[in-house]
Amino acid sequence: MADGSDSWTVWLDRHGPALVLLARQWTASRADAEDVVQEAFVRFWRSRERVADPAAYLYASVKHCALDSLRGRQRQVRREQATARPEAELLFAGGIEQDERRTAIESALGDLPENQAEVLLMKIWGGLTFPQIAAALETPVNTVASRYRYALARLREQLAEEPIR
Amino acid sequence: MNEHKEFEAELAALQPIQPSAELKLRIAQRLDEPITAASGLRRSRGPLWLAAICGPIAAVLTWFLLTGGSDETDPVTEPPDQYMQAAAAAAFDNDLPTLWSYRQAIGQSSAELDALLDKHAQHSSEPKPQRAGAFVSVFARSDSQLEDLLGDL
Repeated sequence: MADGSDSWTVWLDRHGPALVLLARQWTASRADAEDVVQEAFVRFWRSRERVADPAAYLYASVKHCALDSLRGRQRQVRREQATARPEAELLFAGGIEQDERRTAIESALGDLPENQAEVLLMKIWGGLTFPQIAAALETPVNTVASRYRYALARLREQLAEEPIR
Repeated sequence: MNEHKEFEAELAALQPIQPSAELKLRIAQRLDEPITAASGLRRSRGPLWLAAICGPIAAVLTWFLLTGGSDETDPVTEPPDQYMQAAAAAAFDNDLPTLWSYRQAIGQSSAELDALLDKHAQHSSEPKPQRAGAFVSVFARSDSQLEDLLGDL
């Protein structure tokens, strides 16, 4: 194990928040995202010893499970219902003094192209390296690095009116 | 990338909301369960899917390798009809010393076999009739050619 532990709870504590955040890209609600993470995590844990990079495999599993769930008709209906009231759930925790900035970042994240947002999430909050992200997405490393730079630049553009700490 | 360092740090400082405690419980329950029949079935379907996809591909490849991708059959491997008919006629001709004619004679009586052998012995001492069309023999060389060869020895 990369972090020296063979306990699934260590993996879930380390990656759970980023995994739910990643799954939220394709799910209607936080509950759906947790369903996806649950399914992906169980699959990951049962087959982690057969993969070269368990962390990359975990994030790839979440994406695949999320896309599978998105294909279900019931999920799509719930997604439509949820997008009608997007203010219901926050993505990030934080004090009330950060609310405005945090909301602006969440909104900007939601406007990013999907392939840029997933790279950003895996890098910033998942702590994956570019080669790991490349493995998870089955995409060349250079492409992953480019998407990351584009994502940061685009976010900064959108937040240009907001002061950066 | 350096121009983004400060911004990256700001993003990293944001903490995604923790998963619910219920998620951890549900995962614990799932991991305690034995692998379900459904997941086992899903796993066992893998080779069937592979077979369904790979089978026709393998068949097409085999056909392509054997025929070179052409629908036409090799003309060399198909003997011309006239030779086939002549060979078939020769095989069932009582005047020729064929396996079929000897079997027929043995099937009737030993006297018939003797008569047939005498007949063929008599024929072999006579000059051979010229048949219309191609000469067909189960041997590569005619009797006269063989006799010539034996004379050389």
